[in-house]
Amino acid sequence: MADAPLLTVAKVRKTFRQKLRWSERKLGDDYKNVFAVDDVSFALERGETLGIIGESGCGKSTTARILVGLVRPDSGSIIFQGKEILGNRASDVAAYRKEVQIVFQDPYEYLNPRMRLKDIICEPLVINGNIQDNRKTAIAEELLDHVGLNPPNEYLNRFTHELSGGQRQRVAIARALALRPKLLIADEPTSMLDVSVRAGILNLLRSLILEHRMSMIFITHDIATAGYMCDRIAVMYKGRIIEIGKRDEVINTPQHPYTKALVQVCDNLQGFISEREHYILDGEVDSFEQGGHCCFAPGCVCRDGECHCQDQGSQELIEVSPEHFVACAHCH
Amino acid sequence: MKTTNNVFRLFLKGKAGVVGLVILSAFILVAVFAPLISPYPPYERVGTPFEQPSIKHLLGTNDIGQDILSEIIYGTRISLLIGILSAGVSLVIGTIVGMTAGYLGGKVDAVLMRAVDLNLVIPMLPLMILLAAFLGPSFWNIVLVIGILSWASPARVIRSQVLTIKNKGYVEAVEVLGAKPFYTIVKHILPPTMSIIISQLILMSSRAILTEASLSFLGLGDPTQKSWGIILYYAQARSAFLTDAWLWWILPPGILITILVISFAYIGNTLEEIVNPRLRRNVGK
Amino acid sequence: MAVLEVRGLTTVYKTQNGDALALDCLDLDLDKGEMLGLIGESGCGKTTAGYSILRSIKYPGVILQGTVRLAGTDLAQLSEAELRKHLWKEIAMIPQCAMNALNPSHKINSQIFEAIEVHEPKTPKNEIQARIDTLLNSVGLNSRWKDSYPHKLSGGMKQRVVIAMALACNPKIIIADEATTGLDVLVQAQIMALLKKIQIEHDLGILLISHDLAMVSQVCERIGIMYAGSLVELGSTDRILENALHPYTKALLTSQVSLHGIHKIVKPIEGIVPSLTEKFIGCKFRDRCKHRRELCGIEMPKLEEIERGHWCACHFSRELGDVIHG
Repeated sequence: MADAPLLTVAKVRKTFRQKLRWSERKLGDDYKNVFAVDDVSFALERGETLGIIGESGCGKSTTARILVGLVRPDSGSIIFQGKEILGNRASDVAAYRKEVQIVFQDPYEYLNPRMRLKDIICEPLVINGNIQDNRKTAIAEELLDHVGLNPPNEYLNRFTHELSGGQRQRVAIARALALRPKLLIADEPTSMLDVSVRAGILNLLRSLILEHRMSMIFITHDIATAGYMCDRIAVMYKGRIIEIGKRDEVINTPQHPYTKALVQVCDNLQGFISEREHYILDGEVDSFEQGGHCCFAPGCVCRDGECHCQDQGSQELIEVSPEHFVACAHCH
Repeated sequence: MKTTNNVFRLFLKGKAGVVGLVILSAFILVAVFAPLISPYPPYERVGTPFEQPSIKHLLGTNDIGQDILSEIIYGTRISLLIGILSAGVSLVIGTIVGMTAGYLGGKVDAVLMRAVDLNLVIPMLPLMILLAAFLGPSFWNIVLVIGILSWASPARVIRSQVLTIKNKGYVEAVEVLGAKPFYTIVKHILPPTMSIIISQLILMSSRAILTEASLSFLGLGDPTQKSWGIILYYAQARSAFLTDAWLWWILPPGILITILVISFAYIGNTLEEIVNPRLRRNVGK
Repeated sequence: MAVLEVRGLTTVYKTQNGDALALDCLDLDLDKGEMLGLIGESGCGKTTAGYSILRSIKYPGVILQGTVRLAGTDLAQLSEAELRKHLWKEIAMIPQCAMNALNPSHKINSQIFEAIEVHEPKTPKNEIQARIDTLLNSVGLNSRWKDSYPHKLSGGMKQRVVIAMALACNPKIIIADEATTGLDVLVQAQIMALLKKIQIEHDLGILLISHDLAMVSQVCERIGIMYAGSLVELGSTDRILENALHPYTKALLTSQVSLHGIHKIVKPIEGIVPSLTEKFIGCKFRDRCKHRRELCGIEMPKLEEIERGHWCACHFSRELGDVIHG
């Protein structure tokens, strides 16, 4: 593509200090470092949707929180529209915040139960100081209509507890749209919702992206949902991106053993069950030390001596086919 | 979520709270309509000094011939006012400290909380006596002394509530929108803390009334404003304890202070049990 | 032959707004060695069904009527003590949030030990110990974990322990209530594999309660679909996937994203589930149903056998589905 990417994330890293249990403590050292996000890099084009999938605790939500400024990474760089965001230029950061909005996982937690929908939806505009009180109703109505809450004037003065989970998530989306962002981050927006309403939220997000020419980072644990929503898919495991590429390639020809297992479970669970020894080592592998080998090696069916590597244990991402990168010693 | 309505319903379930509310309302009515109720103007000599109770003066007269019943009725005003005002002062300070410490966290929190600890371990009454004596007796000095020295425990309670709310998703969601801390606190953290602030205000009022009575009794109150404490001070100074006069000069204001403080405590405790997350399981569900 | 026969099981929850009919006349058979999936959205009564079958539902839940026959014995006729004897030995439950079902202050070993000892007081101690080792091995856990406290174990391992406990007294039937919810995808798959394995090895009947149609349809021989407290469709997995008869099942199938059909547009089911406290005349799904007719508002459809072994509660299922006769 001729244009520079909308967003470039390079070598972003975040460690959390975790308090150790009494039995695990050494003298003077009550904490251990846990890599939440480890050396994550990717680029996002304008109008593109990138899916990030992975299990809980793999760092996908932390990545989202870093991108919206809720978590400060230890190192790395985030370049949005040509400007570095992690530098300390406050005006750049403020401008960035208006351009990037997030829809959180839990629609019950992330909307203030004491506020009317009208105020919730207009809050981004109030905070950023560009709305007159008398315009509120009109703007809120337009946004409510936009996210499919019809007729909007019936919803304006309601409170969130009068809404169903799906409706709340629509309100959250309306709020995220209020500032007309260029990048929308959706952090598992449907995982708390009932199966029958999920499709509605997914379709809404798809049409909004097209209509507003937004980019989206869609975070989920379900590879099928990612396939439905995204142009490209990144698979995260233990804080790292282990595979990233075009949707069809990742789904149809997954390269990393972990991705292969994910695809098989989703595509044909029966097949996975009957020959799971081809996909993942059985039993529970929990005792693994960090460093010294590929992060997936303890559960990996094709590990061997090559999986041991020198530094922190990260296999480098290798381009196996155009724009399809895999971090596995066996995939090149 | 606790709506105001909900708090009110739970409040009516707690009998102590309702009793307290009835008594407090009675006191407030007396304070407001004091000029209508009291038989004489309290600052005028309407009888001979040291009269015993009679039809004319139900509780007798004091050392300069003022009607004690009228004094007590007007005293309700001063005692209530000092109590509520000083509680107000302590709550303003306590809310600011608690909100700042809870919301900002980190070093600010550590410093402020050490100040709170210090404030809590210092023996309060001697310090108040010292400060009141130093500033001199006046209505506003008493309010300030009590207010400035008793913000620590509300600050602590408010801080813990702020800590719970701060971690709610919707506060995070507002931060993403680029909200400044002041906006977040006023718009999203203060409203759900309000019920705790009010319950603290009521509890602090009862303590302030008691403290005011103690200070006044020791002669540190404003002699021109007749609170119940001042009445007691004069009664004691004029040796009411040595004669039968304690029956009508000391006992009535003493009992009234007790009842008022208890009514505040009833209301405050019931409210606190409803709104304080750590005590909540005691009432309802 | 059916080991578990549920007939007309009805459960309500007492609420401020009246009784909420959480389980409306459930009829269900579970055969020996069969895995039956019970699917539904949250609040459709599938968990209530599980607990009602075990008769271990707690107030405000009240079982109004119905029989549950377990290998011929009616659980309703049993006294508390006899019932307790039956649970675990005949029928065991893997509860929702099984990870929290373990007591954090006891070692794994003593928790399983206690479970066995209570139900089989005559078994000698060393025999129980040996059985615990076998149990843990059969659920894919190294027996060295038995001396650990639950917090040392990952979610999947705790789930395995809970399954081991359910197996402890060799029940004939296991009710697994959302047994893999909250686990990671691969761990879920491994737990499902484990359930499948014990089903075959122990010839167990498993009632798998879940909201995940895609997963359940991969492992269960038969599926029951629940909506607003009622079983609306019941049949073999293949037939339901090929030829769903109930409009709700059809809508549910088209609302799911699948890896095969990522290019197909999924459709949500419009409207909301009716309140369970409402007194309902007619079909509960009619407000959201595309095919509703006058009759749907008048008469509640009964679960009928439309084709062999394929039951559906819809007045028009014969017209809407592609029914195989004979």
